[in-house]
Amino acid sequence: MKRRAAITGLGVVSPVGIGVHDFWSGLTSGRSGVTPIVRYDAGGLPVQIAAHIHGFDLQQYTDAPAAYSLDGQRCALDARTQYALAAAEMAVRDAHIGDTGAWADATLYFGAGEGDNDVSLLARILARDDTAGPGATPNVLGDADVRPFGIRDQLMEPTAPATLLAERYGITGEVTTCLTACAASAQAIGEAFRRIQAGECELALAGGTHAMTAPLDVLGFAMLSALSQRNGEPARASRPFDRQRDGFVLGEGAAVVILEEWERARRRGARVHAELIGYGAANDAYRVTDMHPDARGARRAIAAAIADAALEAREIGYINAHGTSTIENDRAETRALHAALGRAATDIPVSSTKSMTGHAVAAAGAIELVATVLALQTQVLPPTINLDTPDPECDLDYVPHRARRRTFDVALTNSFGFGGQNVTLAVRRTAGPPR
Amino acid sequence: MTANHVRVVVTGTGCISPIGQTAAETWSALLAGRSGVAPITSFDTNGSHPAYAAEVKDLSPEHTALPRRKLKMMGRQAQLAFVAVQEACADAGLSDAPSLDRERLGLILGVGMLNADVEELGRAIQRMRETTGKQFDQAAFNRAAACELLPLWLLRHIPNLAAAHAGIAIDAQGPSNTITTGCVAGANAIGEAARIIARGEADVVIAGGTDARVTPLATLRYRELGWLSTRSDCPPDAVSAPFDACASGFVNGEAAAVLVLESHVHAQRRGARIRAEVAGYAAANDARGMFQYDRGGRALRTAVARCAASLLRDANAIDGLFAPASGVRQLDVAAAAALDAVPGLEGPIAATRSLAGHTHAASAALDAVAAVQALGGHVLPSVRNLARPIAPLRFSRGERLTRALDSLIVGAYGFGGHGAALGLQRWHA
Repeated sequence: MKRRAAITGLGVVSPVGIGVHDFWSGLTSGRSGVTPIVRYDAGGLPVQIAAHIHGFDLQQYTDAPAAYSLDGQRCALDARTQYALAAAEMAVRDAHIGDTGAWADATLYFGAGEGDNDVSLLARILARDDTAGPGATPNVLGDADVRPFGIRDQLMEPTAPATLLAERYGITGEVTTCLTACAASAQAIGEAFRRIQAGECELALAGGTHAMTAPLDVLGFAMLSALSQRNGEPARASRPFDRQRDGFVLGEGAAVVILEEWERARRRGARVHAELIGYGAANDAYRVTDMHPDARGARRAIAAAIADAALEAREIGYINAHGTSTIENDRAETRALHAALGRAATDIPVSSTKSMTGHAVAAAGAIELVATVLALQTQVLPPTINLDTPDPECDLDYVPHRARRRTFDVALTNSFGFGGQNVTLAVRRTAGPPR
Repeated sequence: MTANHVRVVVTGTGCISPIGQTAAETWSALLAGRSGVAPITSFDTNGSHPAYAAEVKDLSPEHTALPRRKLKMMGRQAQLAFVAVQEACADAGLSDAPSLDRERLGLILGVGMLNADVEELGRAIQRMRETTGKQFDQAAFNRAAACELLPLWLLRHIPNLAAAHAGIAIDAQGPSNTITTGCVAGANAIGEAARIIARGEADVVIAGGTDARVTPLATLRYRELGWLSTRSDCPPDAVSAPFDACASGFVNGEAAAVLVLESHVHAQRRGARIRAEVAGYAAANDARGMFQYDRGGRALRTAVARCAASLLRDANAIDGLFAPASGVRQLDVAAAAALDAVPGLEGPIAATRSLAGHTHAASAALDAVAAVQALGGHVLPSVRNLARPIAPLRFSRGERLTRALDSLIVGAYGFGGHGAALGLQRWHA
């Protein structure tokens, strides 16, 4: 018998708002978080827009230090790790589990990207030897002191955010980080959910973080022709399912959910935001950058989540799409929804909050799960903005432009990643304490 | 145990390492005490230290299963994983198994972080400096990088593409994951794969780890952190000295190693040769941040104890243990403390990093491959370069054991305070 999982804490840091309240008012008012890049000089990059988080100050959200000190060296934590610390603190407070003893046996499962490269530091390291002729390999290992390169580089590891969270909350149980591209944090939440379902743990802190918005990230994705180049109209650049779309917009952020075994949550009278009821994952095994033309992995992930939750397709009242704003994803996702949901598909509203948040890559799935839970709680569907003229091959109800009221009890959220990773999560509305 | 309890078995191994191009070669090098530590060949060390590492010797398409036309978009760790997965599939008889349900075939890899590559990035920085008079200028760098980096540059740096490339080649459409918990990732990957099979979510999952950090920037990082040995007062093959009082750090290594895990019912139905059973898995964390270990090796101790308890449900004793020591003093001390009194351990402790170097995310998977090879035999690899042990543990000297090895533990421990343990047992139907 599978155990049930309550979502008893939420935390989110995103370009449209920090904290659940601002995040949700941003999404339901249809506000875009995409702006010209001002964090660094984006001159010379083919893409000069991103959904950056502006004015973030870790100390507003937590007393966790924003820098790591070791052996007299000090190194600021990268944006991704700071977002994770803030989102986790919000979720932990929201769940009212302050007692660190409770966390000792908890599971921590994170989907996190790597920290950003400090290009100016790399430039210093790679160009140290000015005497070498052209074409010479940079003498990286010379004797010059480039501290704190070592600490900074180590803190770039994908496992850094989860490791610092484990330290902060005293989590001595399983601490895992996965990095399955754009599906990572949805997969992390799904795997933590499986552990609760199987009775392997009763409490989990799960989610993800990523800030893949540094110069090399923007350039790397731009060179793959994946990004929108609508530099003159940033707020209109991310336009999932719209005929005029030309790629996705890189975003950043973090989101954390506290998952709790249902009886545990009931015993302590926790407030339950929603019940996590299904997780499905499947792989395309087709091409590293392209989705399968029949979206076979996506279709099976959706179907598996529905089966895990023992749902009928017609019970589903809302789907938060992966919806990246690329021709390939938007069409394949639409096909996958038709294939997995059958005739019910046309009656179910589907929206892409990436139209506002941009694509936070490894953090996207967790951010979108929070959006999906808030939709259930408030009975409001966030819109797909910029959807002026739907792509004729995208024929579902994408909730264009404006948020919509709807009475519904069950929702799905999709996360599909580079490399053919596909994850779907299913959530059910709850009212008040767990019944 | 209930009648429908799923047992997870090992039906194949694959490994490409500094000491062997295959799992069998790696195993015989471990037994023969052949070191993989040698002068670095993949980049010019320009007279700096260390000048040695444990590199994979031959990763060319001529001598491996690598597809030449895809090499440009595969990072080195993806290439290593590709080779190991191909070997494991062939070994398990999966390469020509048309009846295999591809939707229930999974692939889970522990993968390391790949630093920016110095060649291409170095060219971009050089070009920038030519236009700016050696000053750093972000926009000038952007323009230079746009010219110098290959369009597919990013693809080589995305960790989950190691599993994607290998998974496409074997048409694995089932559960896939990429675990990035540093030196413990390979053990986590195998443990998670075993759980997925036990839960009935897949029939076969190939799991292990891959890592390729013998790069200039990773070398710089570990040297600056003081974790890497830079000594040059002894031959390279004498440097890697796990558990030795004179150890001065790890020797950087690279490898990929995977197991084919399978439900016992599925393995028996297709007539596969069952090599071992995964009879235990546990993971834990020190909760002490990115750079500190618990002095008592708490996470490793917890994981090993839980794993031992699982093994001892069926076995009378545990016949040996593969330790995660790598020659980093703080880590070795913690690991030795954690392994001080493993419940039921009656056999010796091996430390393969003395020969293979520290292969990071692949290291625990390499040990798991070695453990599978060891089961049924009478010998564990000797701990090399161990003259003055830091703890009075029973270290393997390669001695012939009176009893055939029936149950082994693979311990994993690394930065971030991650600990894990795998229990492998000879198959008893």
